[in-house]
Amino acid sequence: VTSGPLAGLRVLEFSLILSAPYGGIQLSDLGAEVVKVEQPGGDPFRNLGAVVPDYSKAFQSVNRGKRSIVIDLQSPEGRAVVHQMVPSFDVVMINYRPGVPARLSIDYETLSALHPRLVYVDISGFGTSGPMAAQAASDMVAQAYGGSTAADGRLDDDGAPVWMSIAIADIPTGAAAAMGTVAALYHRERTGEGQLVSVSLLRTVMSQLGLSLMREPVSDAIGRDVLKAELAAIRERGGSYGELIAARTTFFAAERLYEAGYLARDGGIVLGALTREQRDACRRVLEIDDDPTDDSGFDDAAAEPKRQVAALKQRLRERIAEHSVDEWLGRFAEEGAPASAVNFPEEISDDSLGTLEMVELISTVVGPTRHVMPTVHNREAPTAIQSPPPELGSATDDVLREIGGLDPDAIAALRASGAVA
Amino acid sequence: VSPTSGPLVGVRVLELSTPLAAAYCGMHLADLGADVIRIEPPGGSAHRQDRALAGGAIKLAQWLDRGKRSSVIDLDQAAGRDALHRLVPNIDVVLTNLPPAGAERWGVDEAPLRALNQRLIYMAIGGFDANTPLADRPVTDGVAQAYGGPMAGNGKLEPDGAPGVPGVRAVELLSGILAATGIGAALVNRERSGCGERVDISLLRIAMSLNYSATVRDPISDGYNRDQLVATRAQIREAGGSYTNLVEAAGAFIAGTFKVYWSGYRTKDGGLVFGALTPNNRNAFRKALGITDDPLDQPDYDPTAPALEEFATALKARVRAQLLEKTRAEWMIIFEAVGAPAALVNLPEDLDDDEQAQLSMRELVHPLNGPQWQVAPLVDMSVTPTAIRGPAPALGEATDEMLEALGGLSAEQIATLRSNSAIE
Repeated sequence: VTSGPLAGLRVLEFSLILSAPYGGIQLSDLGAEVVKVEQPGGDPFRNLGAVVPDYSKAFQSVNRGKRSIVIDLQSPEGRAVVHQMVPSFDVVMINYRPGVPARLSIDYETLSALHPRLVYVDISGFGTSGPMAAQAASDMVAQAYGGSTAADGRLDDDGAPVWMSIAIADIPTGAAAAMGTVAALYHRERTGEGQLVSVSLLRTVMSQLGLSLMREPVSDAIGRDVLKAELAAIRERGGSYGELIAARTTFFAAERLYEAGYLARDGGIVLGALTREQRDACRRVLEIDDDPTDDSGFDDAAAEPKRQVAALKQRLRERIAEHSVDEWLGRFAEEGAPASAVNFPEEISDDSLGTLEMVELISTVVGPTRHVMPTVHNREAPTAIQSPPPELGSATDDVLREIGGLDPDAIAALRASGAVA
Repeated sequence: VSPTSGPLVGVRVLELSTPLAAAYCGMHLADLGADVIRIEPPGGSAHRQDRALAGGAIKLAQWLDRGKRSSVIDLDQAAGRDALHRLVPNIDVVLTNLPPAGAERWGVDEAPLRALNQRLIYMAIGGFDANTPLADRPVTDGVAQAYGGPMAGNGKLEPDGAPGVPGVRAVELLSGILAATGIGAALVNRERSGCGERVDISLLRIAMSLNYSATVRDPISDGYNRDQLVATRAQIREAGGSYTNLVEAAGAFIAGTFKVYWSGYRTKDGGLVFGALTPNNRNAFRKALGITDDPLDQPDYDPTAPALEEFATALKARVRAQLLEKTRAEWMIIFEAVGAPAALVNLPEDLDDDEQAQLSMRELVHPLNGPQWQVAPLVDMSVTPTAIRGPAPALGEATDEMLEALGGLSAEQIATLRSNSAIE
């Protein structure tokens, strides 16, 4: 028996790779019973960089707490089982490519006709209308198309774009799907109505770039429009991708003085100032008293201010190189300025603070594992990871019996026909 | 602003925020139909004045605060704190990312508010774990990305080899979405049980969650590659190696399939990416490019075999040269024909002219500076439509209305507070 705020609710997840699975672990941690439907062979994420077959760390990280059932949705019997079970679920979450749900008879129209109270959460690449609507997407594709690859601005040794390996399309889209799910469940609690909830990787990327994409003619005239003219001029003369990125980076350089990485004497350090107060604290620590970038009227689109910013950046680099990371961290902490050393994702699990955010799960496949705890902590209806990551189809029989109401003979017949596994 | 649609219609939220996570959360709650009231200090909260946080003060506040109301209450004054407390019985959610010590000083920590409203949902977004001495450290996106791993995992480098801050404030933004999720779940539970809730989110944990597979510890899988990477980095540190050396150590652990088919390329006229994660998608690229000799997806492929490593490097060089032969548009036609997941690399500003992206933009009109376009709500809903409820509010435009309607204060009481500068 689970304890979270969604205890007693059931989610049927048709999911691959990362976005819907990340949404599903949120709902599971919040107490819902999440049944992940996999096609024969399983979610391809099971074998992405896998050392243990069908049990990659990538799969584990976004599927713990769920039950796995294998149903062949190509077979009429498999689809019939899904249709039979759907009324016992509160939520369907799906990230199959556009057109596939309808072909498999697991689209919103079909399932909501069977179960009007259903909350159906659809995750697409590019949304439900427009010239790209039929295209499949991935984190790579959505980040490239949606602008975050260019906003991150990395280039490889050939001058080609580099993926920002923080999965800001897939992961926040999964979170958005979870957010839409609970909002729709709240409406259903109050009215009894189910509905269709739609999110897309493109919309999510754009939302996070909301400030860059916002158009507001008054301030754009002295900011964004100037940048756009620069970019157009570079394209006009046949400039490269790298030149476009360099122009963009220079344009926003004033913002990256105190929210930036530097090299201290013995390693990397990052300043994370987001407010004027925090930037002032950084300036006190670094003994910078002639920085005009926060003065009203400072025009960072003009040439002379750009030179000032470049000179300041160089001074900050030289200043920070004078002391060690630990010395600086102490000084920044005293002034209340946000700063940090840089840790690697493979090592944070063993850091003194990082380890507090981890919990042990004993896996039947690989033994004792450790995972990041639920992202949301509820005190009264506590969130928790319900179980280790499931083996492929490990809950097929149980789910068919408990939720589908099938007897052992019916299950055996389905197995024999290959409709379930 | 008086939302009439959206799943959270009728839910009242008090937002006490500093950039960025809580304000982004409040934006989603407003888009979902909640009545979100920002409580701001005299002069306005930090992001109203902030010119340096990308694009100037006007845009930042008008983006994050769209569809919200604004009240100015001076919580440094006892009279201001009392006025705020008068509202609390009529509030469903308090949303804050103020540091715990500040929240307590201003009377907006959980205890006094809970005493006024047992059904309250109190959402606190923090930095490091609330039970450690570091709970009051200022943790922002940059700190969480650096401390928690995403920044080094991304591996971007400044020209001088310093750590590169990612181009998206991913930790604060994801925290905002997950905070809204936590609030929504608590509202569902409150409908069923009548109980209030305390919900916490820490930026450090969210940063670690963004690492997904890299931070999971599994002794079998780790023994094969992660432990070697950690050992390699330990040697680099011992030898006094640079941050660049530490970042580049990860390169040896990237499979050839990724190097070639999950990668960016230059074309005749700009950037393009391949986004293939599965053998089927990789086969589509092989078909489009006429690659017939690639063994990287064969079942007995050993990613550590030097010969295959060399093959992947050579194949990558071949694909690079091939991509330069045509324009982006020409390649996209070829890749789309075989279902290979490729995409153009757009600059954010390019999307102004992109038909697909513009379907996700909405026009609204601000009384101060006229028409503007913002990215649509994160979620679309068929029965309870989400929407941008209106432009961002002027500072303190709802102070009187709120104190009267929700706090039950008389016109005289409000006038007295105003004359004492406890409200604006």
